[in-house]
Amino acid sequence: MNTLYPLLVNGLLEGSRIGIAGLGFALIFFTTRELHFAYGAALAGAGYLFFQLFGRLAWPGWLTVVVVLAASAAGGVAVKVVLYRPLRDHLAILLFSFGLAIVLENVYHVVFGPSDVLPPITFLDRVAELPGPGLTLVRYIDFAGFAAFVVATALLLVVLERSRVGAAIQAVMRDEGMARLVGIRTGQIAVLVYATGSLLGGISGIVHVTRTGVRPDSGFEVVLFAFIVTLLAGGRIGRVALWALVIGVVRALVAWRLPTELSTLLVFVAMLAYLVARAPSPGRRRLQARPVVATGSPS
Amino acid sequence: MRLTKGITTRALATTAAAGLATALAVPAALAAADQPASTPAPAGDEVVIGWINPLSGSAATFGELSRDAIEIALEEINADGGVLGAPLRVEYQDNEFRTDQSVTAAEQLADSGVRIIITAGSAVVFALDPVAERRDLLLANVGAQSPELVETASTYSFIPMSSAEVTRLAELATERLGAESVAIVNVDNDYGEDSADAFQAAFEELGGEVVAREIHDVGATDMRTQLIKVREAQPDAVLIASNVAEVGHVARQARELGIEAELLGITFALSPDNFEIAGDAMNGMHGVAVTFREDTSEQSAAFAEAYEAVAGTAPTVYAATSYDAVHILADAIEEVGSDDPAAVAEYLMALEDYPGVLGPTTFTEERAVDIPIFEWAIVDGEIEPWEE
Amino acid sequence: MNYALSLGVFMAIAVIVAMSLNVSMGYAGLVSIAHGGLMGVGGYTASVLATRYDVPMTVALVAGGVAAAAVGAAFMLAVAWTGAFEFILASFAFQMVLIEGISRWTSVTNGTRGLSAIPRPSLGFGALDSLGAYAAFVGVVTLAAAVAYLAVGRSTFAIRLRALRASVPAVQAAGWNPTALKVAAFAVSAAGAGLAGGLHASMISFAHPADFGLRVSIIAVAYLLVGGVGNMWGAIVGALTLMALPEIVEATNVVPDHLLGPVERIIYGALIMAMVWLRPNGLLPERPIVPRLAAAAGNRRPTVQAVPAG
Repeated sequence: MNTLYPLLVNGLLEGSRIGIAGLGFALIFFTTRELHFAYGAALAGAGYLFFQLFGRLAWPGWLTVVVVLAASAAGGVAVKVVLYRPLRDHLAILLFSFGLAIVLENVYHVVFGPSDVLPPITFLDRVAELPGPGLTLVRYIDFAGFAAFVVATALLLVVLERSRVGAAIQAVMRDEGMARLVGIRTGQIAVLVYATGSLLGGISGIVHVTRTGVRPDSGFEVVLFAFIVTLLAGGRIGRVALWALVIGVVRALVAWRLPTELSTLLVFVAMLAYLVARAPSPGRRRLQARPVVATGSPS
Repeated sequence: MRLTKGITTRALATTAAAGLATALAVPAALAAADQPASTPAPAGDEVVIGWINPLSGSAATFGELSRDAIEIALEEINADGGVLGAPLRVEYQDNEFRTDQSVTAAEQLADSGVRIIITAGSAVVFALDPVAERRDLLLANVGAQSPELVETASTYSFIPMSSAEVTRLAELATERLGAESVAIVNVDNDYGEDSADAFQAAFEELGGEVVAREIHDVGATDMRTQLIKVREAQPDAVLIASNVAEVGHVARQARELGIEAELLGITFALSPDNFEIAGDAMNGMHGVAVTFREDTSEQSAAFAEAYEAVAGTAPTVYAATSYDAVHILADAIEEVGSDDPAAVAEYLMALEDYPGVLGPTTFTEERAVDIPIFEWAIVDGEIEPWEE
Repeated sequence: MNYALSLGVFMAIAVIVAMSLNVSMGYAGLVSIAHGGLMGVGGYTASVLATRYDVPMTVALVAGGVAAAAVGAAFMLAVAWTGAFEFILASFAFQMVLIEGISRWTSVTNGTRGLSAIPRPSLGFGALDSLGAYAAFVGVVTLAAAVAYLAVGRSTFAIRLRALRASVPAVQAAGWNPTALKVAAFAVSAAGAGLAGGLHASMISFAHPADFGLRVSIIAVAYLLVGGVGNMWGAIVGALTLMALPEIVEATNVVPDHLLGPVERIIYGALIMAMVWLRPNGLLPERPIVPRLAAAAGNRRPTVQAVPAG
């Protein structure tokens, strides 16, 4: 019991980190149906930028955060408008974006070297003890990360449900063609979600670099998990957050009683089992069960 | 004529011809284009030693520091007349720390007449040993410490196996720290596993108990899950048998999670990267290491000076093993009159108290050197000798 | 010369990987990132049989292909009808399960320590220990595989797969079993991957889970992207191009040694971006098969334009 509680807390924190990255990725995917694979490399870039400004050039923390987030949002928009727009279909964007991720990853390697870089330890690394069984110590910076996740989830849900822009985004999520017919500027909506999604990615990058540092391929694993929760969520932003927490907690539970090194295997077995269970049986196929084909300009 | 639906003999023949042409053309073209970039055959009686290590990828630092040290050694050897009347040369091959690249590189070197190859990394050495046996080469290991290496046939290690280190560490932990229970955190590879196993065996023999064993992936940065479980076992001490940087992360996170046990480390713990990652968390760690100490001897001081002039930092143990290895091999070749692996091997096994920069060096029966092990403690960010 | 030979062996293995993937991804449109894991199944099956059970390596290699095909078929049977994106995710989970499974099953596979001393195949006159002999062997195997896969490309099986890719109801209307087709395509694909895995392990006498990881799966997809999805010759060209690339970069001597790796990968990524941008169908785009057959048989059925990939 004494390890369960701290492990669960650790799992929730890890879930919140997957969640913040997942929210950004999912927002982009649900709205545009584009798998922005370079999202991972972009958030690693945010981590590197944070390290460079805060760690090496000693900029004040708040300024660094503002600049990094702005740069992330701008970067995401640039990629969308300049690079993705002319591509024909979603598979092409996924593959192009994958090539971009490889390029970025190795540029980081050339510029910053192959090993981890970490910003210096600050007051944020101090720990607070959580009440409860066992000893649970959490750094202030981890609280901040969790809070960012909760706030982001809440904000997104509120904006989507209660605002005009949110309604427009939801309309595009449901049926892009129809939304356009109704007069919604889908191009602008796409830019907006890329900006917001990339900004969330920037937060994720900052959380990552302050937690365990960043290395050239840090983004890869993050985007993979973001991809996983995005697909598991089936179109609903709220579910993205939920699935992220579920994955974090499940990993913690598995680690509680089983050898830690088995947790990765078991998580993926569980994921596979879930997908198999969800797959329609050969007798009752959905008509949508078709490989990806061109669906016209994603605008 | 139709053989089966869709295939006529003509189609089959055309395809076969085209396929054959393609399959043969590409390697042939490459072989032709390859000549200028490939290893030139040794000129006359020049002796060439091979070297296969990472020069790119995550382990690139190792390769660079080894090469820097070797260049210094070569300069000294060649200023002194070289080997067998000609300059000694080393042919460097980057393997990106991958086993398949290592094998390709070994074949290439063997082709060009090289008989001795300097290399490191347990996985690489295990992969190359069969090649060395097949092609009659001698592998000079300057970095791999997995105790399982004793099973190899053609590998001679210029660095002690970690089993020697951890056995001594088990003694020290019991005697000087009074530790009765230890938790082990190690990296998931042969080095980590074998070191952990060897420590456990030694520690249990001394009456101690290993209360927890946790593993983390190579290159992992977050070991909090493992450490929470370690904390639960309430060990007197925690042994970290991991690679550079990983040790730093474990130390830092262990302190963050309130683990107050003594931290124990072996050779990789002393790398500067760990200090950068863990800062104050490294203070209070004790351990043993095969490490380079400038004050070991006059040669050590001279080497340190020369190395610092080239590389800008103090030499690490791998620079020292590489330096000593080249000098010892040069002596061996000079003495036996050629770079024949069997003759050189005989010379090595007879080596006793050679004045290396790591201290008096002797080869044991297990084909690994036996050099003094340094006992250390970290105080205020500095590495100091571990006093009684 | 030996260097060229060993490079040649790795290139040949890459060709088998690309061709096999083309059957499932190119013809049937099943975008999967599990090919590396399937290579691992084949590689480890062959290696374990040869080292622990003294099975002759030639037999072990075949067993590796069969094992991979079986595992691949089982997977496909379970997820045949998930949506396109879910399938990619499922293949990713499958890849991770395979590699993690291999890594954790230490009693059989030696886990992350790696399995060493894997023998070379022996043909009547002795083991193919020399590089030249093994290279010749791999060359012949690759050639046979090429002939086989090129034949598959011309067969009615491929036509049915392409039909399946375009429209499932059409396949059903024609009276073919769509599930059976998918499973068969994936199994044929996996068999090639398994064989390639075994050849790789025998080449370096060593097997390690990292040799068959996610990166390998992704590189396999890249071979097709660059060469041409759905075109068997394209698969061959793509594999050879991407394998030759690092050698070319190295030969120019422009890049400092320690940056060779990253720079090669930058070029890799840039190449993928360029191909998708300029030639999304790859260097050799897919060609219709039916017109050829129709012409060869003197038939005058209307030609069917094969649906371009992606």
